[in-house]
Amino acid sequence: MSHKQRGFSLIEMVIYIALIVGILITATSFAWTIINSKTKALVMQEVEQNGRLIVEKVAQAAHGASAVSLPGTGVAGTALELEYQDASKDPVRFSFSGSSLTMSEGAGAAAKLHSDSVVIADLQFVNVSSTDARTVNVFFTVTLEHVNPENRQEWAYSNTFETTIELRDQH
Amino acid sequence: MYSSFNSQRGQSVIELIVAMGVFVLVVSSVMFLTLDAHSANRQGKERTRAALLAQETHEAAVSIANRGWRDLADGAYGIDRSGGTWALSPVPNVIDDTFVRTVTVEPAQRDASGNIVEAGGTVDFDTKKLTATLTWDFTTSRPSEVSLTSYLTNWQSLKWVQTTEADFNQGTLSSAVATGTDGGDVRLVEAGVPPHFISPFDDPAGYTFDPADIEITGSVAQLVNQSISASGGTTNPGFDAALTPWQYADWNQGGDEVNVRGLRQLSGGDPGGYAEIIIPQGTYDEVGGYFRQSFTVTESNPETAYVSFDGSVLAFNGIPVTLEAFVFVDSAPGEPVVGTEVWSSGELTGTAPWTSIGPIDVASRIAAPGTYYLKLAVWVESDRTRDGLFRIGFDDARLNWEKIGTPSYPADEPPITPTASFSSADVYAWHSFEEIATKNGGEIYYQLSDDDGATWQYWDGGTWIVVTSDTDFNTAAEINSHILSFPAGAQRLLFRAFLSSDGAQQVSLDAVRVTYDAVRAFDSTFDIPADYSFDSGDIEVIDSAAQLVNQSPTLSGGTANSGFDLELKPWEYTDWDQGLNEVDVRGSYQLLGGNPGAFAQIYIPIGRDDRLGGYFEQSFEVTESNPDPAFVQFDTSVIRLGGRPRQFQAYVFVDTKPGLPSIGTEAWTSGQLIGTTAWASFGPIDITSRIAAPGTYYLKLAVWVDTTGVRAGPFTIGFDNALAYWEKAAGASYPTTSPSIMQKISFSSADVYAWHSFEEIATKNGGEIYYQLSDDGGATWQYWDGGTWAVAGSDNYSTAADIDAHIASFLPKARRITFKAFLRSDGVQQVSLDAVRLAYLVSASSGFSLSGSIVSSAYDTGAVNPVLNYIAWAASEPAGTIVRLQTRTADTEAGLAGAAWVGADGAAGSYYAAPGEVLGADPAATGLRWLQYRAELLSDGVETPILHDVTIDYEP
Repeated sequence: MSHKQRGFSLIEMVIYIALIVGILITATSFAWTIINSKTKALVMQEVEQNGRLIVEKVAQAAHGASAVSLPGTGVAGTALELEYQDASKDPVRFSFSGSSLTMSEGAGAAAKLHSDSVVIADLQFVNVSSTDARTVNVFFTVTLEHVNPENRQEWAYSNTFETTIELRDQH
Repeated sequence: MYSSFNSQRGQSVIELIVAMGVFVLVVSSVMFLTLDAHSANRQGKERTRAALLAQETHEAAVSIANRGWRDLADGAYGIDRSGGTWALSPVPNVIDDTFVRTVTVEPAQRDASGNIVEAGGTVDFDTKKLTATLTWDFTTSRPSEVSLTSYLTNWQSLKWVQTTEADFNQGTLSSAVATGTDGGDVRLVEAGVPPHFISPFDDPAGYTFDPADIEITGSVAQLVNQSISASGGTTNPGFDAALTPWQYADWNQGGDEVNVRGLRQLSGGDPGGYAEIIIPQGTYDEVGGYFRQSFTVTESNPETAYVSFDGSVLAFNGIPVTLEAFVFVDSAPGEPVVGTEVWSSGELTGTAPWTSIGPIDVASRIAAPGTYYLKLAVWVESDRTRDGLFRIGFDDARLNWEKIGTPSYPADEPPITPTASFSSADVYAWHSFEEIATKNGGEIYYQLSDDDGATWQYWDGGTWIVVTSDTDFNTAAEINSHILSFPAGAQRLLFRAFLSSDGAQQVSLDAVRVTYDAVRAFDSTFDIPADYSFDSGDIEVIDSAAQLVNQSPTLSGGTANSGFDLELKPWEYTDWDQGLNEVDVRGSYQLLGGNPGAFAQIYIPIGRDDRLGGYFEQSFEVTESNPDPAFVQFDTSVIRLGGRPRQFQAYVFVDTKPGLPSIGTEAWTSGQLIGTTAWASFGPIDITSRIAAPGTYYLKLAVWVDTTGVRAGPFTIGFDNALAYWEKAAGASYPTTSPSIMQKISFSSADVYAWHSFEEIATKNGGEIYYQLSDDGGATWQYWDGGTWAVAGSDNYSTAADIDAHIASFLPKARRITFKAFLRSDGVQQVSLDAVRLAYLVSASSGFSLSGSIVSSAYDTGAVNPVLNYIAWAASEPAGTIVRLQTRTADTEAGLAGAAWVGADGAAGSYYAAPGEVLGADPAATGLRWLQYRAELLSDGVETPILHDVTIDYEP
């Protein structure tokens, strides 16, 4: 009886080992995929969150502004300057330099509006106000990219956000 | 063992299967989770993007609304900023080849309390429901959508609201009237008072009635009160001539008491004589006196009974225990009883001047018929001190009672009837019968007559029938219900009113009003050609008739060189009966002095015993028999006339032969000429009978002088502008194309209720006249096709008789009508239309003007370039009515007058279709600063549309 068991054992071992190796390889590859997916998800989240934050910040600032001094009516630009009734905030500036977007209020220092993990690939403010100033409106589009110095696929992600903001305090 | 070994082996395969199954499950779960995480990431990204786009859409819409609320028109759009600002684009946007963006603008509704509701509210033009929808396919089988709904309000605009009567009255109203109803509105004016008769009962002479039963007073016919009132009372109130019938009596006069006296004084009363009670000075007296007068009350419970008198304390000495005056109304004549008085003075403490007392109501004292006594009394009590003398005066003392009695009216239903029937030649049917009456529970009954009262009729419940008994009559309501069927053929109506009372009810009749449907007529009399539209080559309007034009050529002829302008020819001068010893008469052509210019002259030198003359003659041909017209006309002047000739006379002859004329056959003569005359025109002198036959005729202008036995002359006579002329139509030739003539302006009256008849007055000579009718001013024409009114082609028409027979069914849609007449001739027949009479019924029903309008006052938006958002209005439009509006704009108030009225599309003459439409602007308008609206109210006449308010919303 035990002889019979041993006789099977080698073939079984071969089969088992093969099976185990196959399973391990598959499992490892899955694990990598999952890890990469998680990385990608984090990268996407980072970009999305930063993008939303920027859009919200610009929208919030524009909603409270009384006028747009930059860019001029009908002009597109990379800087937005908003006039405020509140002298401590006037003016609110958004400026795009290099690969970052900063915001400043009044005489305050400029603060970066996004994390170091993302860079601004493209940005545009368009003043779509009417010449008679019945409507004062800023169109804003921004493209964010995740920092990816090694150019790895899981770190490669960019997204474009756009909105337009009608100044509420214009009249 | 074996078994266990065997079973172990078997288990191993199952285990393997289970293990593999578990493994596959685990692996697939992990794979699914991995993939799902991946897709969740992607979905999150896309949803984020869609949400941002939706928000962007909302912001863009706010921008559009801020630029002008008018730009947010209802519909589905995309948005677009290519024009520099945000605007709605007609098609949805496609973004990144993935997202389809649609923005929907819908009207928002609000309920009565102002809350936004999905349905069932009223549309709020200042709120829009905005839905931004982003759709995309996550996978081909998984469509996704993000939708953002918001409500935008038009919060920064201004409004010009016109809603009160005063607002509307600032504008110009035409056939419309502003009223204060429900805060103010505009409605059509009423079409006027229906045809009616009224019987006002203001003149007794206009009615027949028994004055014992009925009286006409204060514009009312009413029953005469038959009851008699009764009254009575005392007499001789003033005591002016005597005391009687007053009597004086002592009151409780005892043996040891002072002697109280009552008597009439002649003067010192109020005024004149009066009655006085004198109580001498005394002690321990309890005594008085009174005047009394009896009177009779003949009725029980008289409504009024009053005592009044004047009283005075004329002398008062000492301090009595009591001194008091009383008035009693007693049923017994004897001494009064204190406590039963109707009046007492209270304690008298000194002299008092005359004072009027009363009236004192004593009706309850004399409720039963019988004899009563009015007593004027004084009572005094004195103690041991000596009090008196007291003198109490009464004057102007009376008691009057009156019993009005129960009114009693005749209960035998006395009749009253006007002396003349209601009568008018335009009565077509009776319409209503109304009374204005005060019946007090009684009733007024009526009978009607259409033969001035010879027979009376009433409605017996089924028909109008001649009355046979005294109670064959109806109430006004019954009459009113059935008066439509009361015969109106006699065009007269007389009523008889019976005032029915139970004896206690006063029945009075203020007025009776009868309305009727009238027949009135429009006449088209072809007096003014400009009123008609026709081809003047075929039809002429002359002598108040439209007739065919005779198209055959007209032949004519006559003399030439009427004015002698260049020469005498073809006139020739000839002496007339020139004798040897007579003066030489000469006929010549003169260059100057005619009328005007050159003329022909006959000169007769001074002479005696001459009988002669001269004449100019010209022949002319008449080629037709019986030419018409044919006439002669000329000017003549006596230039010189010396002496007093027996005869000096000018003649005009139209002869069949040349040569000397024959006096007596002349066509004209001047009669004896007795002095010079200036140029004068004569004629046209009819010569149709002289040139009836074709041939050659001679016109002769002659003069004849007779100087037998006198020396006279010289004579000079001139002729100028002399001609004979004839004309002859070459035969009758009339157009056979049935040319038409149309009355340009429709007959129209707000009173038209139905068309009634159609008559023509025409001379047809065997031809015929056909007609078409139009109720839209000639835009479309109708004719009777044998069964109905049908739209007419160019050769569909009806005879006047057909039209007349069926015009009642030609609907009076716009209450206007015009006709087109086709004059049909075979070419020889002259067809002439003198008049068309179109009668219509005037309904007694009330109605409204068919159209009216209001042009508002001018409004200044105060901005050079305002955004004009929308016009809204509230109107009630019952069936058959329309309210429609237009606006116009200009840069100045004065400029408005020249601007075009436009609707939403800005095209001149268009109208706003519904409230809330965007204000239209005429591209040619000078500006938008000033604006004005115009509302038209149209009606079929039955009801009026009502414009409640108008709102114009704008942003300066």
